[in-house]
Amino acid sequence: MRGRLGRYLLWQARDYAVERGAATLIVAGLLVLFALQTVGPGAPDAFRSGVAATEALAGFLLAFAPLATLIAVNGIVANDRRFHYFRFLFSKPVSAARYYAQTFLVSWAGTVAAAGLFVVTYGLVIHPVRLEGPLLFVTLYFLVFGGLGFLLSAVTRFDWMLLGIIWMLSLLARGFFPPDDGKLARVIDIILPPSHHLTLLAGTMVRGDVGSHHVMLWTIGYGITTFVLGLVAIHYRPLAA
Amino acid sequence: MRGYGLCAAGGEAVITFDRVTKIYRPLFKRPVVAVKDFTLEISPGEILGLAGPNGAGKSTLIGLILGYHRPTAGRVSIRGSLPREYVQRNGIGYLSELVAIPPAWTLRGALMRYALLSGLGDREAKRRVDDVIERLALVEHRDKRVKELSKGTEQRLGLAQAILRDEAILILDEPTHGLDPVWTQRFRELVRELRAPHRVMLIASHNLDELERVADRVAIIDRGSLRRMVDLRSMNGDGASLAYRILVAEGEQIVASVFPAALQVAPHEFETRVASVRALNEGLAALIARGAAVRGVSPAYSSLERQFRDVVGEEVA
Repeated sequence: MRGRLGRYLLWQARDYAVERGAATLIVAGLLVLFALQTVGPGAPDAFRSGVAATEALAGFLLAFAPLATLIAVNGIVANDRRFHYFRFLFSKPVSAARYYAQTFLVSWAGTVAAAGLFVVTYGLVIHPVRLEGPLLFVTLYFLVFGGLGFLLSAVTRFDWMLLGIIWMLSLLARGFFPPDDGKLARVIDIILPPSHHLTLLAGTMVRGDVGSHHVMLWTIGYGITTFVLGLVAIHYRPLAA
Repeated sequence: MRGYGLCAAGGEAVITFDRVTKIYRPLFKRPVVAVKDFTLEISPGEILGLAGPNGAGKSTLIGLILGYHRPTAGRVSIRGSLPREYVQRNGIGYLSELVAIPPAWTLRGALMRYALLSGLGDREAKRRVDDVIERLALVEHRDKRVKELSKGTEQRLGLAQAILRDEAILILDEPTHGLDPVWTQRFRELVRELRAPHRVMLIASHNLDELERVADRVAIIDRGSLRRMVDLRSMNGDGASLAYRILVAEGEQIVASVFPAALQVAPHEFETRVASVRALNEGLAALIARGAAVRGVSPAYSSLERQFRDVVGEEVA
């Protein structure tokens, strides 16, 4: 008799809401408050146009997405190893890789739902904006950095720290080595997460466009690859390692 | 299988250790040999005890059965499959030494989750959860969060999740740790209730008395090696023990002349080794004849404890 992982999804959703969703909503709430100060009804006229509000939303999403992703995937696998929760969970007839794949999907859905609340609130209190572009952006961001965080969490307990370092590194490296700057830039492109693409995509997607297909495919490919590598690590690395 | 003939006579082995070695290799420390060339078979219907001092390798052996560790050499198999494959297909009832359940979960919520992961249907899961809550007297704690539970209650919760489903393999690591005497006794009854011809039970414990009461065989391990297999079913049960405790009300000074090996362990209390039960009786007769008043005689160690001391050494027992 196999474990009923599908039915267990509701418990995982509940865990996300209690442990991580609340923190994500606090981040979203703070950003809305900040938006009210900068581009809201109280802001100078020049900042109250629809264009300014849309541009500002891209900036807010670039702050929301990394924080929400970090909150969602921090310790997603590593905490169960660290606190020994895996001992009872995986004495049951379930695959650890499937269990964590499902946890990742639940966290993804939770993050996108929180982003939806944020964008809807932004639209109500600042300026009406389209929902699908920002949600697609957060989905993509989660795939890239969430996938990387998932991989790191599967192999080390210092996942959130390493994810933060890699995120910073990817932003800095792009400053030192612009995209067309020879072989080293190409190597950086492959190894580090495509932060520069995501920064550009934020503005593009908020305006309702999807940008270059090549960029989009590269970004999705990067996220899926790291996620799959995470699953492979969970499958082959002993749980008590 | 090579090894030491450590197969139980109870049919085809369910769990097999074939010359298993496990070496931990920490990044900046020396490698640690946790299990060394370990061979053992456990058969259906059997309750096997694992005894050994701290750090003997008991928990590592259990981790190898569950597939939480991978052997450095040799092979562990459960019904012919690799441990992880078996566990993912069938599950194992397992109580770990450290009961680790997220502190924010409620007792009933935790059991419902484990029931779903065990593969029980909704209705069956509820029924089984309520049943183990009742069976382990957890009713008054059912809505409490795990962080609010006492050590003993947490231990019972750990035991409850292990017996949620009718598992063919049940592994209990230090099951009475933190339990009061009433629950320790109740645990023994529970083990007897859970004994079944199709089921293998493995109990790791420091408590030799407990193992002697419930196990069929006890594997004594030390420093990762199997040092002795004690078959409690085949022990003669004549009460023979080489070490005895003698209590005297009067004539303390005579004891040493009759039992030269006797050591005074407390006022009016001696511990001595004798070659046989007859030698003990002759010594006691001589003691009384010389004017000592003997208040009591008891085996100093149980038969398992004696074997444990022989194998592991007095200093750790």
